Amino acid sequence: MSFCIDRAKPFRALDLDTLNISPDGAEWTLELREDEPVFKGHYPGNPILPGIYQLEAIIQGVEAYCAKLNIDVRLHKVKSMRFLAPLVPLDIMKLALKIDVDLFSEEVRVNAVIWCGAVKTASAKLLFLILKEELC
Amino acid sequence: MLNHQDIKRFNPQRYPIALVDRILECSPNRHATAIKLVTASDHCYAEVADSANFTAMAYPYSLMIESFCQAAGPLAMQLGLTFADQIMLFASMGDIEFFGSAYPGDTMTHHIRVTKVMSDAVVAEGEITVNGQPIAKFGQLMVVARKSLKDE
Repeated sequence: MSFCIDRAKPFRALDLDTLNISPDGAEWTLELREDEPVFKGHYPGNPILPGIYQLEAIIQGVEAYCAKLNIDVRLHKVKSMRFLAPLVPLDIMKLALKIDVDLFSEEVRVNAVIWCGAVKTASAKLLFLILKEELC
Repeated sequence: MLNHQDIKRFNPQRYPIALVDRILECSPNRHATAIKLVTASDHCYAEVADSANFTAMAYPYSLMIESFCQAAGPLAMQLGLTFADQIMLFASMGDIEFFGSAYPGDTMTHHIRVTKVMSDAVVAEGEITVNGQPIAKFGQLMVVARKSLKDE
């Protein structure tokens, strides 16, 4: 990454091998490993990916996309997010982000959809703010 | 007041994603106040490089949301939501805004208001403050109780 500030991550939700960045967004897939630490606690004997980890994956994808443009961003608003189906170990998430970078208003608008096979697991509309370079 | 062990009687989440330390008050008028201390030993910081900027230790916003929702769990159960033999899942969230960050050494105080309770779902709103200053606002969070997926 460029001058972006390292983030503290609950887990690494970007598979750089599958990450595909295009002019208007990013896509990647991520297999949920059985030994992912969060599954021990969510929930014991019944592992399910916490919904907020889907949000975290989107955040990381936006940060990686913006890093390619040498800009640093912070999540400002979750306008809406819907969780449509649960994800469990060994599921393969496919994340598709439409990213609109507005340098004039210093905002990044994101529409995200997450799939597992043919099942849509989540959708979200987010707003990020572009940070000033002097923070780095 | 509910300590962490008390909270575990209500909430099914466990380490590393049991993210509420103490419920300070739980009012029958649908208000609750809870705290989550941020510490450098939190699981989310395990991958932060020694050379990283201090701002890398900002508590992840995704976990702030999770912590806030977990703090609403005991209040929701007291108001009628039943979790027995069930699990809690996010259904939706919206109108969430972040104004600042929390770092190791900070105490996040959750100010929770439950706006709707059904037998299998709860809707809540509120704020998180650090040292009395708001760092996040939650307009609408909906959590549902579902049978264990293993039973399906």
